Amino acid sequence: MMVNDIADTEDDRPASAQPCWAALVEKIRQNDPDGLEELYRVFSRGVRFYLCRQLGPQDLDDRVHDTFLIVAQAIQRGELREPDRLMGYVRTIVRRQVAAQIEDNVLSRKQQFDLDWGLAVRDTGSNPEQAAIRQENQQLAAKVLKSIAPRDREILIRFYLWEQPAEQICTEMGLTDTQFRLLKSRAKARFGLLGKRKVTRRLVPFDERNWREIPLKR
Amino acid sequence: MVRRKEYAKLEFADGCHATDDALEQYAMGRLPEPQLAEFEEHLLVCESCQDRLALEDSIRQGVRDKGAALQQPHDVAWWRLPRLAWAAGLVAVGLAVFAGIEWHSVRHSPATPAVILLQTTRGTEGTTPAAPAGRPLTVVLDLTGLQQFSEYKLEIVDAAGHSVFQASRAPQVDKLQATLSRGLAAGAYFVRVYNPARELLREYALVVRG
Repeated sequence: MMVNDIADTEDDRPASAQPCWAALVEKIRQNDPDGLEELYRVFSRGVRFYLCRQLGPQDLDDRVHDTFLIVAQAIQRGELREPDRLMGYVRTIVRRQVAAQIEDNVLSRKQQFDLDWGLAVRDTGSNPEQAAIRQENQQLAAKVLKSIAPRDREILIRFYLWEQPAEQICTEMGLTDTQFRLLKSRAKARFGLLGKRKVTRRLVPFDERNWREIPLKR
Repeated sequence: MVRRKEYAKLEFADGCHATDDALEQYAMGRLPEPQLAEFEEHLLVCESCQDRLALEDSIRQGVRDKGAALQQPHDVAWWRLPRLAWAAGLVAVGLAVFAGIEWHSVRHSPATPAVILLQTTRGTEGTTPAAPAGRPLTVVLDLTGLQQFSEYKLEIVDAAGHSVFQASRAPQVDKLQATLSRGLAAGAYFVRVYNPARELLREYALVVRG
């Protein structure tokens, strides 16, 4: 078995069950509620995950909603010429959303900087729940790093903190590529065993109730 | 007829999910564009890879938060020393004791610097990095996305804006590194990067805890 194989993660969920994109796009074009529901069901979690990872949890629901609105309306206007490229199209829209939000942040920060009087600035600090989660993650990281073998710890620190390439780590630590992958995988598995449930479950819960919020064709 | 761009194929382990290598590269922002598109499209519809990426982010952030204080990688690890080195070390210790070297002077030799990686992050995990007070400190700045120069000016100011450290450094693979041999006192600091014309390019927050 390859050391970097997905089987090492003990995650035997099947890969995405992808629908027939052409049929899905056709349903959305026909303004079929089932099509919109399916679009939301397939992409909702991924879009939320991507937006949350790039922009944080602020206004996440609104951003997800905006994204689906844009995608659905664009499809209904016939702007998606190749239905098989629906995944790529959704990705493009999500990336545009992220870029627009970052541009907006930069602009508003610049405007705030130019002003010489006080104004309300959004608090970007963690809320109590996020702070608690982060503290919990840090405690978990400290616990794992202290508990693993010094060599495993050094590999993780070189790889993640110093961002050293695998070749350099292998050379300086006298490891073969296979040993490096095996040790890294073992060290990461320790994190996985202790923290996987805590970390992943809280990230972006899928909420099917929201799909009907997407307005139909206007 | 529209001809679709041919993408370089991304390796999918067992034909279903992204490999750990691809996942790590993506998490560290190193996955090049053709594979990036393929990976992100897969990520949009694959819960398993979303969870794996979340875990990968968590590990990376955890190591960066807590790993810095634990070890510097350039130290020689004791378990890799050959037997001859062990023997030589024991002889040296014996000679030192014999020569009357005080333990006190050994104990107060310069400490290993704590390493703090400063980078721009977005999302839930980004917070101000914390360094230990009164200990040699190596700051490593991520220059990704900045205009490239052969040298950058680096300045650390305290919460009141007073400069406590200044240096010029050449970048190494999108990283700028400087070591403060005396470290910093507890407090809030800002690490600033300037271009050679001393125009501010980026500022990082840094907390030093006692």
